[in-house]
Amino acid sequence: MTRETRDRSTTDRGRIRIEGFDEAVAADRDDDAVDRWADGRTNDAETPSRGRFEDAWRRFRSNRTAVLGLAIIAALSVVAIFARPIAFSTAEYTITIQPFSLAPYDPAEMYVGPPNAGPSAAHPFGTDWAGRDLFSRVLVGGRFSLSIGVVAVALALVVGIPLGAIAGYFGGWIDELVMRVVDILYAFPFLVLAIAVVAVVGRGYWNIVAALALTGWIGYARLLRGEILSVKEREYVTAARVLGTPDRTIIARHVVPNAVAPVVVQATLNVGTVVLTAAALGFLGLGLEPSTAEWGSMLANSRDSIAAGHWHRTAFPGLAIFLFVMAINLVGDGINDALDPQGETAERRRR
Amino acid sequence: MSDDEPLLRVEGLEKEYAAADGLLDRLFGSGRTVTAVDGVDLEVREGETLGLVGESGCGKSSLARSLLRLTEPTAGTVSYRGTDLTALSRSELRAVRTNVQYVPQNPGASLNPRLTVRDIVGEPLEVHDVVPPSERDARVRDLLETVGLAPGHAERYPHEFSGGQQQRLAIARALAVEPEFVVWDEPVSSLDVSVQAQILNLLADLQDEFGLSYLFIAHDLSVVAHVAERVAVMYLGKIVDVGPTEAVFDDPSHPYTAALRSAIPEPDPRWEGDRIVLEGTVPAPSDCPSGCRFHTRCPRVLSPAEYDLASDTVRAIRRLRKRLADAGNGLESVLAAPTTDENVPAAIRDEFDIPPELEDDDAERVLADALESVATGEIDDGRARLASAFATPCETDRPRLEPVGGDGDRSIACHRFDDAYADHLPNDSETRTSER
Repeated sequence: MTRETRDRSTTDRGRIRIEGFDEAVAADRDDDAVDRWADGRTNDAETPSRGRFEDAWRRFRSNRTAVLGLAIIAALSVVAIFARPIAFSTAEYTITIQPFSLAPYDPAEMYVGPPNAGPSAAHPFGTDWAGRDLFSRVLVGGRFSLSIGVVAVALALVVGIPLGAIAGYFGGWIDELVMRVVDILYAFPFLVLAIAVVAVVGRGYWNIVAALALTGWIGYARLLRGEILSVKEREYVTAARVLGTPDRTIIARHVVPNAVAPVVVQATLNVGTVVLTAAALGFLGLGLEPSTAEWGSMLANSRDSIAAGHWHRTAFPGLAIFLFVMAINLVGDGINDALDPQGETAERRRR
Repeated sequence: MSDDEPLLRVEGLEKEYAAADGLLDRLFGSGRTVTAVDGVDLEVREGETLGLVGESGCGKSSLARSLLRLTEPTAGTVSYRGTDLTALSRSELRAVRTNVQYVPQNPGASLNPRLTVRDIVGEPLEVHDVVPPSERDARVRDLLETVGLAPGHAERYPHEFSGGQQQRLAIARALAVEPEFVVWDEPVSSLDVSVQAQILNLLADLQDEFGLSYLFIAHDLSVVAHVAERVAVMYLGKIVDVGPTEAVFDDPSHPYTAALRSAIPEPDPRWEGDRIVLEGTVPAPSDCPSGCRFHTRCPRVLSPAEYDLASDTVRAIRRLRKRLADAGNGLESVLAAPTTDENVPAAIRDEFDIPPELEDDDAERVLADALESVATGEIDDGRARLASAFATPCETDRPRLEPVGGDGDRSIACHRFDDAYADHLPNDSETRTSER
């Protein structure tokens, strides 16, 4: 090592000459470099690039069972919405929002046919003990079951995501507090806690939704907190902090969107669980009023009729629950695979 | 602010991490800590680039993060233009963020994959209200152009860019707040060489254009030598050598700097490659050596003052002492191969390259006695004799970062440069001026 080489190679400052890698005018070079990439996929350099969401949607669409599930849910939702006209009435006038009526009879009207009649052309699903048309009741019952599932899960997310995000991001005593509450609630069996809540506050649609949301948020909070513990160590969070971005913005823009995918999957799958729990509450007599056309309540009311040979009274509401929960699970799996492009979860599931 | 006041002055900065974490540990207070940054003093002057080099794990990134208060430093002060950053409240700190910026190590990981370039580069504009909302898009385009990207890339996502382009995005984001001081944490270490050069050129251009000051962290000495006006060398949480780049790379320096320097490959086929290969590995920060932290690996440990020994001999005896310290109580753990030789002391001398007779008579007597003890199986006795006779100040005294040379610009933390230890220098050691 001579003094000369050392001087030349290490202590000369200034621009490095790069031969063979000419740094051309920035715009030209970079357009080329990036557009060559984009061209391969979109064949159109002018198309704005596809976001992560669109990629996920493309993967979801290519999953046939998931699309089947989505179709079933869509069909059940359409049927539930169009089963009977929806109208709001006030003292003076009535506003009809939805005039269609797929159900041939009013689900609450008694003696539209003979009691406990089997399926026939006039009553495809038969009638119940009071001669109400079961076909109409199953169609309209979707309104309760589907909306309980979606609303309860949405409420649980509204509670669980902020609490989990705050606990995970800030850590310390906030984390301890939230997570110990979650631990305590986790110590109760899900259904027993829901039963206890309904027993205290009474029956009714909103009471059931509240009971299911109360027992549902803990799962989301814990799941999101765990994800956030790893996401908050990522360098883009550090970069945002050094830019002086307020914590609120960091959580909302950088942390939660990158941590929420497993929660979305879990929530989708939970819609099915919640519908089942609502049906179970109905079956135990803690759901809606016994005469309500809700799938769980319909099952509960007809359980003594199985022995009498009136199979149709339990089969059709049960089939409806089964169909919906299965569809939800197919969609949940599809979302899971779509949000997880590396397919790690998909692989794990297959094993 | 007077002219000689540096832009950024770091004094006694320390960062400790708790080695044991968890509720039970906190309750019972088993407070084991790891000191990643141990009392660092640094200065960055206006308009200059200070390079910070060191091996992986020596605390470079911890230093950067704690001087920016991304992690709270345990002790010390960081004054930026006279204000102490460590004493600022969160809102005051947020205001300082417009002057001091940080570009993290891995460009791919530092960009949120779910946001478009417009949102990423526009975020600082929004947070600090640099420009009115209506002009943000135009400013984002300007910034992209400044760092050599096409303005039309604003709608794309980070994963659509190459590593070098991602680094340019990270640079654009840091420049958005119009800073005057930027900390670069290994900005080019994850890029290939041609892209490294492009990014380094970009950094130099930006510095000229906007009059920025840089703290440039890297483990690649040739990169630092190219970009930095001054260099600080870090070893196990301490700055051991700091000074102008030319001086650090050419003049007599800390033995660690010399070893790092010798590891830079030369693009010269006639390069002799006199590499200094350090013994052993970096000690764990949780178990720091006493005295000078580098003494366990230093090729130029001081010798005891009483004896006149060549540095090769000093090193050989140190190796023997280390082996004895690690060894059990059998002779076989001292000698690698079982000896058939009757003369065990000679075999030991052979194995550790200790000359058959030391130059210094007193030293020779002590060594001969100690080897005799070892040969008769009294390893403990031999160990103790050697330890008391050949102790060096490097093991006991902690060197301080002291100015070296006339202009006071160069500081080295090594006893070799301290006149108080002049009589400890091995007798054949090159004098300070010839040590190059």
